[in-house]
Amino acid sequence: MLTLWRNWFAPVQTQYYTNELQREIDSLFEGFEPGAFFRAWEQKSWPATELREEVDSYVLQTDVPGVTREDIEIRVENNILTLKGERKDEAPKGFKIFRKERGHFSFSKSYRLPAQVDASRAEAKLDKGVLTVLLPKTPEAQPKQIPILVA
Amino acid sequence: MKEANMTEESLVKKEQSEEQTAGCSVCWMPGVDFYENDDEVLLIADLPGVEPSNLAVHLEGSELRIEGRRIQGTNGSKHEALYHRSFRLGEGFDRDKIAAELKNGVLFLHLARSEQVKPRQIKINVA
Repeated sequence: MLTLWRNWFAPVQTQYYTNELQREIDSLFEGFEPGAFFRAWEQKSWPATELREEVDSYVLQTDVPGVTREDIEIRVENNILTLKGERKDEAPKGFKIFRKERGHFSFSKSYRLPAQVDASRAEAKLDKGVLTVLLPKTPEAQPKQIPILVA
Repeated sequence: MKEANMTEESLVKKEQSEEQTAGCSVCWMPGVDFYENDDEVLLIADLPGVEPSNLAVHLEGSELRIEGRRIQGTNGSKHEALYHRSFRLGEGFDRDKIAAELKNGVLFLHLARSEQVKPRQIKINVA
């Protein structure tokens, strides 16, 4: 199942597509060589991201603790979903630091959306440091209940 | 500011091992920052996705333990992850004045210094 997702939501590295030829080559492999997408996914797997499939949607969840709404940008362009964000690292006023593990971070992640997604109805929310992007499936991609007619 | 230099040693004497995390399926060690001023030490930890009701901060003896339970997924595919981190607190903190707040998935834990260790300004009376 995971492999399937990874194929569908092939993460795109922006610097990857420096030219159209590269893009063509990559598109040839799409769906045929999951390994390449695995690797791309791993590289882009920070911040921690989870992708789930629900009955009528896909849900993409990214951990962005301490990031505020103003510092997040979400866009869909040419069927590519891009999440960008930044956490500013400021010492609380009047405090001095003596141990530091957290810090400033910025991220940019892109995903090529599968045809099953209706991007025009996508929604995002930021709650408790988790960014959730809800990607509804197109009506065609949703499971259908087939009524059984009683003779 | 002698106290300031000593804080790290006295607060984080020894980080606890992870033995308590045995038995949970997904365990994470959150990143932590420590800040200080004359009045308190401020611990900041990343705990994305943790509801305040699923966060526990324990102080037992000198051991300060932070545990956050995070429930991910919905109806069909729920799973749980545990954040865990513990520290050994040194002397010089007022155990009754520990305050925690959770903001945007980040924990702010205020550890107030006890009155005895706070630097004091001594008034000089002019004769």
